[in-house]
Amino acid sequence: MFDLENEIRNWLKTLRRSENLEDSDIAELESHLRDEIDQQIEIGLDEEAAFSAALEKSAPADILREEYKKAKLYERSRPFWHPSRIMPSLIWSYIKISLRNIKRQKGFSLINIAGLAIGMAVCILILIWVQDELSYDRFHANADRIFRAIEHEELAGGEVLSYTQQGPALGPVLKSEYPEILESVRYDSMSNLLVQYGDHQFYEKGFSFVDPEFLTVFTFPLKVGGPETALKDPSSIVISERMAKKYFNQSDPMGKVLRVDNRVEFIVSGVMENVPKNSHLQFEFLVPFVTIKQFGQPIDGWGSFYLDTYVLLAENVDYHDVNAKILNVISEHSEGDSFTVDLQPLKRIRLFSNTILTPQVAGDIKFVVIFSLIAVFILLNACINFMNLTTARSGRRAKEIGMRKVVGASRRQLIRQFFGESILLAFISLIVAVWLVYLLCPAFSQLSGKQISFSMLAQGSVILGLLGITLCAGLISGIYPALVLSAFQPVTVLKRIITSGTRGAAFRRTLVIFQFAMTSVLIIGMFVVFQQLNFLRKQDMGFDKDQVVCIRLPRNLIPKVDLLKTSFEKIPEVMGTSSASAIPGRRRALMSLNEWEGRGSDDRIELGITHVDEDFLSLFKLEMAEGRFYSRKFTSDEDEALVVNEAAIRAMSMENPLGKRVLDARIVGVVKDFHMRSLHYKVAPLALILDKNRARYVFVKIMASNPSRTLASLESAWSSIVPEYPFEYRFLDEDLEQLYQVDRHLGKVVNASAALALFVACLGLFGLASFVAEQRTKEIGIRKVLGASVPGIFSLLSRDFIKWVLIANVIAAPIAGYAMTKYLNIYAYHSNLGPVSFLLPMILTLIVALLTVCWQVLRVAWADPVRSLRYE
Amino acid sequence: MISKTLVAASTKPIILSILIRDEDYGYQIIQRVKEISGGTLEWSDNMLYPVLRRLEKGGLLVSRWKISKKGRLRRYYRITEQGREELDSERRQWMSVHQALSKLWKPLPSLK
Repeated sequence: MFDLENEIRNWLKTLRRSENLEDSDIAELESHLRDEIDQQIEIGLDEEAAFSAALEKSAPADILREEYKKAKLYERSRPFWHPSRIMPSLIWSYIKISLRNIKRQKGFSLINIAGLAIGMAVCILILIWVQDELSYDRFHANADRIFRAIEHEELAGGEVLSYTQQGPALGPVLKSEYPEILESVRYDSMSNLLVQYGDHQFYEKGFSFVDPEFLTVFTFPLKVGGPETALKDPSSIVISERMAKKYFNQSDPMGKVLRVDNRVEFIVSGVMENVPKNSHLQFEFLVPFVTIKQFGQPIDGWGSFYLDTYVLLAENVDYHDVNAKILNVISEHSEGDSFTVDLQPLKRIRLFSNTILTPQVAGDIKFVVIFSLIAVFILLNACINFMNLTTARSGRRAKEIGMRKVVGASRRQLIRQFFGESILLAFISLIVAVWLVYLLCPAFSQLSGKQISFSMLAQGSVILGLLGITLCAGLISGIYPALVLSAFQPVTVLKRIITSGTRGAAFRRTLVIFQFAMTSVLIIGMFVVFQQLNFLRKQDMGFDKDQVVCIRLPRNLIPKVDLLKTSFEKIPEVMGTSSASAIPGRRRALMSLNEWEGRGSDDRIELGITHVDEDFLSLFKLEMAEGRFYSRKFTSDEDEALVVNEAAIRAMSMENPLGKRVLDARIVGVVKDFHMRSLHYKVAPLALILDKNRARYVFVKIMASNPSRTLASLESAWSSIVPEYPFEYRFLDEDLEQLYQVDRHLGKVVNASAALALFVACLGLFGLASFVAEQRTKEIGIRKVLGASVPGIFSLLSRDFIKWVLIANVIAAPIAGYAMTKYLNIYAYHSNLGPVSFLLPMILTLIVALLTVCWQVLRVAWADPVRSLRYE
Repeated sequence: MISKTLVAASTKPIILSILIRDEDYGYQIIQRVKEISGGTLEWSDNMLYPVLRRLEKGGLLVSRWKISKKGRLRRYYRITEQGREELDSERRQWMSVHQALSKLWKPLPSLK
């Protein structure tokens, strides 16, 4: 009896003998066989006949096995008549040819590699810098869910002020009333607190008061101690590793007692890793927020703005929704306050805070953009050099291209070859660039004011960026040669119809002009920034800042201010003393004033406040516009009198201000405007309030001669009164310099990049000049024989270059003018753009360009015509 | 009758051309070939499978298993992007051979 299943099984068995058939293959063949048998049965055969018919149509098992074996061995190989896409032997030849080209044209390659390497090195440094700027505050595990509360206040003129600082009540209310807000943390940092352990005593900055949840909301890892418990106890303190080493050296800091500001004792309950540099919060000590009461700050209420509030949102909550809910939280709780509140994402704090008033140092996205543009531009300059020199010298390679075409190279292959060459060159430059970066790291750190180390190169994103930059540079520089040179007609080339380099002359001209235009923009920028920095230094601040020593006063010593002042004044070299709550130039306290005589309803001004003593005016040589300053002759001054500046009078639109009432005092004098803040800001309304109990600084005006002896006498006077506090001081003018640190860094970066851009552009110009000189050697020879003079030839050859540079400057002027007006507008007080700002840079670029081409041109002009005519 | 070498050379473009329309399984592909060639292209039916395997290995096809209504396992083949490119180049080659031959044969009717 015929058993179909059995027969099929037997047939399959014969196939299984081969290892080359996989189970899936056999299943497939079985499925085929069964389909075929079904087909045969359908046309009327019985099972047995159908089976044999199906077998007959199939190949015998052994042939099938053989075919599968071949299929298995099949390695994507192509039939021999297919040329492969990539021929290894040809690639090797390309590399050889390009290396030979690099070697043969040493000067040309040097210019290319040097230019590209400089461009890339700048790019790499800036890439590292940008990377670091962007990395701020991202290391927190909850970074996406942490936000900072910002308060906004609308002033009378419609201007909106934004602050990071709030009253202490806001945080707890946000947490308890809005379910989306899981945690809130208050943060305030004090500086200049005296910290003592045994003999170790230092004034410390970065002493921060935080709610205990701080360590669980933010990720500042602890070396010792638990994040949940470390700040639970009100007398606990968490210190950084750096401080642990400073105060306790090798011994275990846990449980040790630190005495702070000679009044509060804290027990070390945790040691944290040093705060990373890329954190906008910088601190060395953390203590529970409630202890801030002992340092004179309220721990509740809406009124006194002094701390930052951070919140942690629940997962999957859109902070825009939360913003809508919390907008009016302050006015709901504190009647009469018109502040609104919203949240700023933690990740945006570093770069997007420039419109927010905050005590912390912030970066600025503008710098990130400007720096990146500069880097791209310098790199572009280098790429243009490559393009120009390659096309200029194309004649030399025309024969090679012709030959390659004749023996069958397709245009596509040639394009690939040229791109390959430029990318190879770019990679060589990359190596040089990395070496340059290694050398430049320290200088760049200084320049940018940021610690940049070579090891920062070893980040995934930076390495990717590097490869990207290299490829881009290679492709951009290769694009013109690849497209133009590969289009040469072999016939014309081989017949030498194309004389070297006449093609693309217009294109080269355009590129050079573009190069110099961008360089000029940078150089004009350099001049303007220099002018402005000079302006900042020279500008009369409205007060006398020379030979003033500032001594920061620990809070405990306020009652001793008068004692200190009188003992300082006994020193013969001391010309005067004063005390105040702030250093001129650095306004701190602000109040929102809505009560003065003659105020229109709803008017409100922002008033800066500095608490001063009677000597403030004379020490800083301020001038009165009207009325008088505080005087010891008027004992009631402390309670009833008020001195404001002219800006305040203007803001309140007061006429005849003397005697007018503001809050509960009467104006006795108007001081002429002086710059209580940096020149970035307009002189703002300011009240000088007589209150010696708020003094934070003692100022001592000393004679110019022998300051070190005077300082020594000051120190001994200090220690005789308050021996328990070390004497520390700064000079006011040095302190004020710090206001413009960022500006100076920017200035340095612009200087350096302008110089580099000019250098790279000149490298290209030098290459072009030497090419032109070489090309016209014969022509010059003939001209000389016919009687041309050296100056004549010089002007003939350099005329073009000068023309290009001039055109470039004309193009650059409006662009630079626009950019520089924007730059100057970030200062409320600034120097003005004049014709000089444009003419000087133009003359500079011209001179440099002339000097660059001069040697090459003179060499030809001086050459002996006999030799040049024999030249070929 | 078509020579063995020519059959071998044409297998690939034929399979690819069939599959470019839709995915299909082996038995169907063979039926289609027969249908289209009118029987002039003859190969042992199941010799197609090693070829399919080879094309799959070359990245020109991908396959997946499906179960037919009758409960039979069937392996469906689909053409890949690379397969499309390959088909393009095959088409160009075949067309140029075709053109060359037709040009050569036209002016020589005496060969008949």
